[in-house]
This record gives sequence, structure tokens and C-alpha cells, in this order.
Amino acid sequence: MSRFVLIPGFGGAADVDFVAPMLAREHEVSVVEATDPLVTDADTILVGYSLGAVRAAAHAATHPVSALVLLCGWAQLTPRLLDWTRHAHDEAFARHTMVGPDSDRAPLVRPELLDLVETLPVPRLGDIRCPTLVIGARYDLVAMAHQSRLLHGGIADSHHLELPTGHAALVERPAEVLSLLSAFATHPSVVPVVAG
Amino acid sequence: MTESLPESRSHVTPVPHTDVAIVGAGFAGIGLALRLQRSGQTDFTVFERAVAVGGTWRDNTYPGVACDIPAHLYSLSFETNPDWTHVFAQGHQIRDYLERAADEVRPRIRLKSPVLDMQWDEDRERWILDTLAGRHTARVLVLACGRLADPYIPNIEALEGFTGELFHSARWDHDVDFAGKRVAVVGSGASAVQLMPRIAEVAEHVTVFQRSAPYVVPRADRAYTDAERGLFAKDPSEITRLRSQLFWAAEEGFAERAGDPSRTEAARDRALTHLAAGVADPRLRERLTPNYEIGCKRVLISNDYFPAFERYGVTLVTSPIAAVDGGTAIGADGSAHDVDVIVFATGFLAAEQPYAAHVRGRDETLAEHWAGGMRAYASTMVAGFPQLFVLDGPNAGLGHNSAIHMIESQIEFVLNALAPGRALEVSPAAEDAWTRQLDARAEGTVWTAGGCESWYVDPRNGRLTLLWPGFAHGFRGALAEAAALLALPEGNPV
Repeated sequence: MSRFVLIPGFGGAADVDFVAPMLAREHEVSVVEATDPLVTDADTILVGYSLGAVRAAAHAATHPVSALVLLCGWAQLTPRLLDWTRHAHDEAFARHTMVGPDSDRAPLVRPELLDLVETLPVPRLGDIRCPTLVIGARYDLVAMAHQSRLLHGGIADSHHLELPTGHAALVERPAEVLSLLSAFATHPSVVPVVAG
Repeated sequence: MTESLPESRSHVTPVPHTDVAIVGAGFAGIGLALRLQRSGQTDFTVFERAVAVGGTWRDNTYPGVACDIPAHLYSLSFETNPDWTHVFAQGHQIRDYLERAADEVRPRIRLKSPVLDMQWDEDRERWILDTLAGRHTARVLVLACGRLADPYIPNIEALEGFTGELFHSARWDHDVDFAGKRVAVVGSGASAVQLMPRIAEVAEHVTVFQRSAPYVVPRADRAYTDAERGLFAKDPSEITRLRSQLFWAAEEGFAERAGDPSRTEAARDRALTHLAAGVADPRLRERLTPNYEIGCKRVLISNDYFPAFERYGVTLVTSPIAAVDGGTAIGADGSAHDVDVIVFATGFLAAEQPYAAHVRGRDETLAEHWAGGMRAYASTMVAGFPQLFVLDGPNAGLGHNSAIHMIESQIEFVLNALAPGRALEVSPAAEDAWTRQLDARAEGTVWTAGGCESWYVDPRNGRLTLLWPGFAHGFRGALAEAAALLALPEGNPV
């Protein structure tokens, strides 16, 4: 049994409404929204998704955690991403740009969380020492898959995977993300194999 | 290679020996045969009791027979098929697929060869198989006999005196013309839901005997376009991509059955809304409403089962059939129904597999070993039965995802175990530990505490023995770890 802290993305707690209860069948799980205070210790597996991943990375660079998972995060705040957050107040635009070609799901976007992006500190990746799993998304039009590869490049002890989804990986393929988190909790030093 | 029997006489009949004997040529048997052959292990023989391969898809030919799992997912990952015409395959399409898949290993398949007895030979460390076609020996025995292979017909008073025609859904009598006939359909499970509307549209009248009402959800079927099928054929990675999408979407279904009350509630609502859309009469609807939690029994998919009741004036009897009096079927509720044909859609012998009585290990038969319910290390290896693997056996079934994924996980386990330096026998302690862990996980789940009787559970002891109480990807992961333990220096996992 591990202790997970999950930081969701633009949808807030709704982003983890599958993963959190299912992970909690075997682990201790708490969900910390991107604006909430974040406390970790050396036993915490810290999981961040989207803007939550940026917050998680920044936190892990300066605080103790046992392991880190960064899902659809970014290493740099690009003009493209900033531009997206401005347009994503339009619900239909946000929905269509967040999912990949195989999904008809409708991820939630909380407008106040869009405005956070600009204010998030850029993580000092070189200071992250814990085992880290970086998961990007092939069809991510928001953060872009390349940003996950940069996170992987900047973190010393990292593995990298790419899911065939859009930015809304947690909404499109929650069970697959769950399987990766479970496997990583058991063997943080092994690249999880996607079992499907 | 061939060898003589120990008790050889002067006219020696050589006993054929095979390295791996596979009993059954359904999905599991053919799948394992293909993997063995493609990995260069060609010393195997598949024994099949029937006249053709295909397992359950050969046996079930009733009108409307189809699969509840999307075709691209309900097929072998190493033998994909770009030509599935629809999201869900018809039974004959799956049978044809298995026939084509079997072509590659056909010289090693012996049809019409029921295995009557399988006995462990301790001295020579091999299995002796007595088949209708003679005796064989094998180093390794793989039971790929399926779990839904032998039809179950309930005890019904005076059934033998029935004056009409009767048969089981898995032994369909295609000579029977239902036009103008009064038909009793016994059962309301997966087969009944598929065949009842097809009979009702031609028969004079249909009566359904329902022991318990099923949850039924919409069947989201459609034809693949020519462009889609063309792309599948030209770029197999598109099939891989679709399979992955279907698999992970199906995995989410597990949350409806375990761990997430809000998803269970949503699933129940979806099924009851489907019922309301299909049946106008509120009293009939009430009698078609399950009285147990969704997921306890298999959730069925159909768009025409519910509407058939009102469209064709089908009579619903909410009790099992108890007796027969000449041409009259009598329900346990005392109601009498004159019928010309009785169709038993009553499922299969699942909890107690008939093959188990014919497998004799070191000290006992497999049926004796399983008297307290089926059990096996990694759902595949049984203590006291060296060099034996069971596919599709204890806790290897699923309610929410593809059975073929589970079979492939077990095939991978067998291939791992057959690698050099692996133990081919498990200790009773290893089997116990595995079983205790599963029993604990099953306790309090919808399958054991959901308020229904289902074939997932062994009626002798209430143990969940047919179903894996977890995700399909969890099964694969657990079996991969269990296979790795077989390589421990001490030989046996503990």
C-alpha cells in the first residue's frame, strides 16, 4: 500500500473521479486541487495532471516525495499554451481541442483554473531527484507531447511513456492511467508495460 | 517420437508421444497452438472431441447467436482480422475466424478424439492420455476445455414424458421449424436474450420462463465502412490502435462492479432506462426488473429482447419451469402452458467442470481436488498435478472485458513456464496463498454479496470460482509476476 497525492488539471477533482476511488481500493489516496495547500513526505507518490503536473514538478524539486508521476504536463510555458488558455473559456473550443481523435468524451474545464497557468512557477527539473514517470499524450494539442519529452530530458531519474490520447488523457483513458499508476507504485524503477 | 508402453508385449504397439498435449480446440487451444508453433515449439498435439474446431462458437448455432464483446477485441492479438463486418460479430463469423486461424496448425489437430482419461505417470514423469483414437503420452498437459462447454439442463419433473421437441440452446436442432409452434424458452440469460426475439418473430407464441430478471443495456452495434475495413487491411496498426481503445474503455466497466458506488448507480440507471424504453406496460416492466445489484450476474446487451415481449405478445413467467405434463409446461408458480417445443437456454456446467473427473494427478482426481471449488496457482497450475496447465479454469473469467485477453494472459503464462529452468509444479502452499488472496478479494463484492445466484459462484460453497475479481490488466500483471516466481532457484513458488 502506497500513499498517493493526486493533483488534477483544469477539471479539478472531476478529472480523477475514476482513478481516485479505484486507486483507493489498494492505496491511501488524497486529491489536492491545484489551488490547495500541498503537503508531502518522503513516502508520498505525487501525481500531477496537466497544470497539476507543473505544480507537482515544482513541488518535488523543493520538497520530499518518494516518487513522481507527471501526466500531460509541460516544461516551459509556451506562447501557444498561453493562447490556448485564453480561448479555452469557450467551452466547445476547449472540449474539442482537449480530446484525441478516438474519443467523444467531454472533459470539464473550470475557467478559474485556466487563469492559473500563467502564474505557475516553472519547475527546476534538475533539482528533482526521485524516480519519475513522465506520461505524455500523442495528440495533445494543449501542452504538446514534446513538452513531456522535455520533462523526461530534464529529470535525472525518469521514464517516459506516451498515450494515444489528447490532453484529456485522464478522461479519455482513465483505466489505462490507473494501470500505469498501480504498476509504478509497485515497481518505480521499471517502465510500466501497457497491458492492453 | 514414439515409445512402447511399459507393459509391452511381443507385438509392441508404439504409443505416440507429444511434448505438449492440448485438450480442446476452441479459442484457448488454438491460441496456444499458434503461439507454440510460431515460437518454434512444434512438438504438440491438439485433441478435440468434436468434428470441427471452434469450441463454444462451433456448438452455439442458435438463431441470433452473437458476441457481447466487440469483435476486434474478442479476437487473438496475434491473429487479428481486418474483415469483421460489424462492431459485434455474429457467432458464425467467429467460428469461421477460428477455422481460418486453425489452418496454420491443422496437421497437429486431431478431431473426433475425445480424451477419456488423463493420468499422471509418476515414474516416467509424463501424462498418459487415453483417447477414443488410442493412447498417447505427453510431457505437458494443457486443459483448454473451456468453461461453457457442457450444457446444463435443470431437473424437471416428468421431462422425459414431454410430447413435443426439446433441446438446449448449445445443441440447436435446425430441423425444427418454429412457424406456427408454441415455444417455451427456459432461461433469461445471455443465450435466451439473443434467441427469444428470433423465435418470437416466427413462432405462434412464446413463453419465457424467467428465474431471475437480467439487466440489459443497449447494443451499440454498427457496420464498419468499406473505408474502415480497407484501412484495417492496409495498416494493421489501426487494428492495434482500435483494440487498445476498446480494451481500456471496457476496463472502466470494472468500476461499476467494484469500488465506485456512483458508477454502479449510473450503470443501473442506464439499464433500467433501457428497460423503460423497451416495455410500455408498467406491470410487465416491474416483472422484468432485477431484484439484485447490477453486475452480480452478467450484464446483457440487446436492443430487441425487451420490445419482443409486447411486439410478439410473449408470455413472461417469473418462475422456473418445474414440471412437464405431456405437452404442458408447468411453472414453479403453478401456471400451465401448452407448448410444442421447449428450448433450454439454461447455461452450462460451469462450477463443476466435467473434464475434472477424468484428470488423475498424484493422489486424486482434479474433481476431488476441486471438491471445495475450483482453485489453481495463477488460475493455471494445480498442486499435485505436475506439468499440467488449466486454461479458462478457476477465476479466469470476466464480466466486463474480453475473455480472449484473459486466455492470452494464460497462454503467455504457459509459455513462460515452459521456458528452461522453470518449475512445472506448484506447492500446495502456493496454491493456498493464491486462493486465500482471491477469496479475500471476492468477499463482499457484488458477485458474492449482490443478492443473486450466478454461474460465477460455486453453489456448493458460495466461493467465487469462475470470475477474476479485478481488472483484466491486473490479471495479466498478476500472472506475469506468478510466472516469474516459477524461476526461483528452489523450484517452487512459495
